[in-house]
This record gives sequence, structure tokens and C-alpha cells, in this order.
Amino acid sequence: MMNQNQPPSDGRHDDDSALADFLASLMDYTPTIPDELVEHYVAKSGFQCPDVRLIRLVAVATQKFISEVATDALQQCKARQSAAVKDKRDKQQKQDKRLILTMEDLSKALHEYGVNVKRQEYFADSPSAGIDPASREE
Amino acid sequence: MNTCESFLPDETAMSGSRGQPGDPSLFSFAIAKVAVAQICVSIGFTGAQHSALEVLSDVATRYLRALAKSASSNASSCGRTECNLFDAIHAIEYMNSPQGFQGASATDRPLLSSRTMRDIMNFVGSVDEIPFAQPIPRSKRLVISRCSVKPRRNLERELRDQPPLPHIPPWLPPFPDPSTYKEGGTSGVRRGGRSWGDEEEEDGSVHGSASAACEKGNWEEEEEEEKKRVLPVERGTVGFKLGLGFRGLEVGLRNGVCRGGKRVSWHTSHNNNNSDDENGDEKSFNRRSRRR
Repeated sequence: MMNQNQPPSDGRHDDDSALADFLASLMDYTPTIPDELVEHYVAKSGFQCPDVRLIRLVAVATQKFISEVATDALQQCKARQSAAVKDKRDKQQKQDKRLILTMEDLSKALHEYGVNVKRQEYFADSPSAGIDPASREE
Repeated sequence: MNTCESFLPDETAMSGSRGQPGDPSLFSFAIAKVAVAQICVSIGFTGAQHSALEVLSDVATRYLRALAKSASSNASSCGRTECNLFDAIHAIEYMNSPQGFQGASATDRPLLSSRTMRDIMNFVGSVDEIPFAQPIPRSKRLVISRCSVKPRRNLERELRDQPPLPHIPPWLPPFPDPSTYKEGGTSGVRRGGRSWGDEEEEDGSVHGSASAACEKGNWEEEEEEEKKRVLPVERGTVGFKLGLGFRGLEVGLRNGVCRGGKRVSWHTSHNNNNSDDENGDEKSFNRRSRRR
């Protein structure tokens, strides 16, 4: 793949060499998303490449995306906790330890990335739950 | 149930409609959930709701597939079947364009010095390596690569005693069993029967009568097989005539649907009534002489 580069000029030479070194270092780095899973999903979409470095690159790109989303969700969670803690400072230590990924934080974090996640606010036990009794009689 | 609207307009599968238990897609989704959970733990989360984890892993798989789809379409639009580094970087830039990255508007910058690649490099350098929790057994489908197709094909050919023909591309499926299209297939069965009878003869004279019976039985089998090839009901012969016109209406050659051409007509005739084809067979066509 690197053979298809244009002859590197002085300005690009650093970038190309850095990228080449990075791709070589990818072979030592093990992404959290395993290669087998990436190959499975990537083959489903028609991505054909015998080079493992590209598979690792795609895995690392996905891992970076997910970690960014998770980081934003964590910030949302911490912001929510600090806003709630203002009232009661006794439970501050307890709440700091338990950071749970919830749908609320995740939906706010994903909204910035263009993914709209809806969730039901509540679940009703019958179709007529919550209707005014006057209209129910009709 | 949580509904998830993806930023990919062509993805219509909803996260709630997972397959049946035992579905192979559940296996890959479970692996994705574990990987995403590991990433969340490395970020600092101590726990996660089930629905939130499922949504995030669904987003992860969709992102992965979108990356791959974009890269493969970039490659095919350039006339290639295999993706290279440029296709991958283009796809990563495309997926990061909604959030934006530095240098996204610069069209004259080379692709290899894209800001997205630099961000990925920084990410790899800053984040500790978190390998997946357990080794994943590779399925046989993944193992079969292009280089293993040829030996397999040759093995099948060897099994059928066919030499590898150089003019046939290796990616084509192998030929069917010769007994399916050669007439000697049924004779093979007969031969098998006869050899069985012959073997019976070789065993000893005690089985002499049995072998004779076997041979007779084989002969009867042959006759039955021949009878199977013949239609059980005698049917009339079908002949074809060139002509025009239906049911007595003369249609001119020069006008109408069949202008200037012949039309093949069809009529039935019985074996004994060759002279009756002119009379009243509804499906017969009148022959019309061509005039020039």
C-alpha cells in the first residue's frame, strides 16, 4: 500500500514516515476490539483487504470513537452527580465511586455525534392508562 | 425497548430486534458488548445499564460497518476490489466529518497527513493497551482465504479423477459428478450389479444358482430402467409449420403484427390422422404462401 505513494517531498516526508511508523507500531498494539470481530463485520460490508494493518486501523478508529462517546457520557454523569451533591454533601463519597452508564447520559453524549437515541420515559400497564376518566367513558 | 436512530440512512435494523437464540449474529454482538464494556471500564465507568451497553455496542458495530462500507465503496469507485490505506483514511475522514476535525475544509492537503490520522496516533500513544478478555475461536469460514481455495479445488478434482484444466479459472465451482450427465452412469449401476453377481460366482459353486438368479434380476432391472426412459403413455407427435392466420382469418403478410416475416405455427396431429390436420383443429394455422 505504501508503494502507491507519490514520491515524498520534503514537507510530506515527515508525515509519511510518521504514518509508516505508526502502521508498523499497530502490529504491536492490540486494540480492544478483537481482529476476528472486526474482520467479521468488515467482511459483511464488502471490505476486502489481506493486510492486517488496515484491520487494526479500522479497529483503532472505532475504539477511539467509542471511547470519545463514553468519555462524554462520563462527563455528563459526573456533572449530574455534582449538581445533585450540592444539596447533600454526606453522600458525595458514595456517589463518586458508582459511575454507571445510563441511557440518559448516553443519549445526551450520542446526540452530539448525530445519533438520536430515544427511550421510553415510562412503561404503562394498559393502553388506557393515563387517559382522563371523562374521555375514557366515551 | 429502546429505539436507536442511526446516522446511516440505509440501516433499518433496530437494536431491539435481535435474532433468535442460536443466531450467529448474537455471538458477534455479544463479543462487541464485552469489548465496549472493557472500553467503558478503561474510561472510568464502574457499571452500566444493560440497555445503555446494548445501545453503545450497537452503535459500535454500525460505526464499524459504516467505515468498512465507505472504504469499500471508495475502492470500487476507483476500479479496485481491495481497499488500501487511502480508502481507509477517506472513510475515517467521512465518518468524522459530522463532528469536524482540523483541516477538514482544506482540499489541497495530502490525505496521508490528515488530522484524523494524527488524532488516532495520539490516541494510540496515550491510551493503555487493553486486549480483549478472552481468545476468540476463529470460525472455519474466516480461515478459508483465497490462497486455500485452490488446494481445496484441486482436492475435489483429484477425488473425481479430473486433471486441473488450465483454461478454467479456479474460482468457478467444480464440475458436477460425471454420472449425472453421462449415459454411462446407469451402465455403471448395471456393471456394479453384474460385478456383484460375478463376485457371487467366484465365491463358489454353491452360490451358482443364486448368481444366475442375480444376473437375471439384473437383467430385469435393466429392462425396467429402459422402460423408465420411455414415456408410459403414447403421445401424439408435435409438428411445426410455417404460416400465418388463425382460425380461418387470413392475416396478410405485409400488414399487421407479422409484417414481412414468417411466423412459426404449431398444430397437433395424431399418428393415424395425418389427413385430418386441415379440418377443424382449433389450434392449427393456415399456411399462407409468401408473395413477393
